[in-house]
Amino acid sequence: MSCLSAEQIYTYLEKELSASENRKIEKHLSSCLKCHKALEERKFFLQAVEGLPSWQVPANFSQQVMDRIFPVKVTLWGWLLALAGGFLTVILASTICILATGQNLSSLFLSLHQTMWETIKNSFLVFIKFFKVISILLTTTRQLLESLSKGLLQILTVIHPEFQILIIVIFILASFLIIYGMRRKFLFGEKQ
Amino acid sequence: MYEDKELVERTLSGEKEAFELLIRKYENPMLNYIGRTIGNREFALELTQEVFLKSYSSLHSYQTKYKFNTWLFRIASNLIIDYWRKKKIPTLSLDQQDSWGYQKISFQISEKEPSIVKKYELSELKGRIEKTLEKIPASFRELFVWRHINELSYEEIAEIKGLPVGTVKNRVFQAKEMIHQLLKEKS
Repeated sequence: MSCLSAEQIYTYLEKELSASENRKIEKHLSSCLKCHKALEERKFFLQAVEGLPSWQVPANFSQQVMDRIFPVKVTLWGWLLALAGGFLTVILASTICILATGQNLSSLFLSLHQTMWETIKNSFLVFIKFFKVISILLTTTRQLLESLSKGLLQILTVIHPEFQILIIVIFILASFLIIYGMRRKFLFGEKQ
Repeated sequence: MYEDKELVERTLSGEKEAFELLIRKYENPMLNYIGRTIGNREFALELTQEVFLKSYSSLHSYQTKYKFNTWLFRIASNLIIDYWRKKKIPTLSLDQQDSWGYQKISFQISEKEPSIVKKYELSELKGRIEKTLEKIPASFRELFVWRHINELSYEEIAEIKGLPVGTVKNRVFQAKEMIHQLLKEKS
């Protein structure tokens, strides 16, 4: 029998051969050092492959999947119960408040009403200030852009028209390269 | 232990717990297959969940003449292909392996080939194999993982991929030799 191929060695190691083919190979292996070494090599490789550690899912994995398949549905009774619970909590809180402050129910509602009104008023003032800041920022940006465009126009009157075209082409190319580079970085950055 | 087909029938008749038993049975083999094929544990966990969600939603189309695990692995294999497409990672088909240059690898035994037995301890070799696995073409890696990590038979793999058994055997052998050659090159 001639020397074994790598494929024959694997087939032998995985016990995929018939008894007669096995005997032939074993006979050859007992007399051929080269094939014997090749066999030991693949045996060691397969031993390592079969001993690779198993990856384990987290303990609650199956529950997570089940929760996604069967999401918890709240029934009509459930909603009604929650509503009743909320209503009772408000009643209980009001009663405790009345008992603790000594106020009657109408004065309690009045003070609540005043607090709410104050909050709305303050929020409104904050919004007005916020819009003022935004308008100042916009005005400043507009003025800055106007001065920039004036400056650019003055520069362009000095530069030769052919040179202007060259500058524009370089600017377009540079912008394209920057955009393309960023696209590659963000879209294909992980693995090619 | 319940048979898969029985658990499928019980699930279809509305018994949620039967499907949970199927998940528990296949969650780790599925994670090992997906994880080692795509090489990322976090995404592998997400895809493993997707496999079970998809299998539940299409359970009515499962034909009991096929093994449940091969049906499940086929779903997983298709999801991995979609994942690679979304990530724009090239998914080599079995006919495109030339671009990897595997034909340069000799599958014949040579007299003076460097030995991994002499170079590595068993534990070190395991770590090297994990890293080298990522370097072989995806289509070969997938078959290798099914055969040697999930311990599926060649017939089961052939059923999943719809390929002849002989082709599967040959590809798995090539995958092993690719890894072996790369390990020798490193040594």
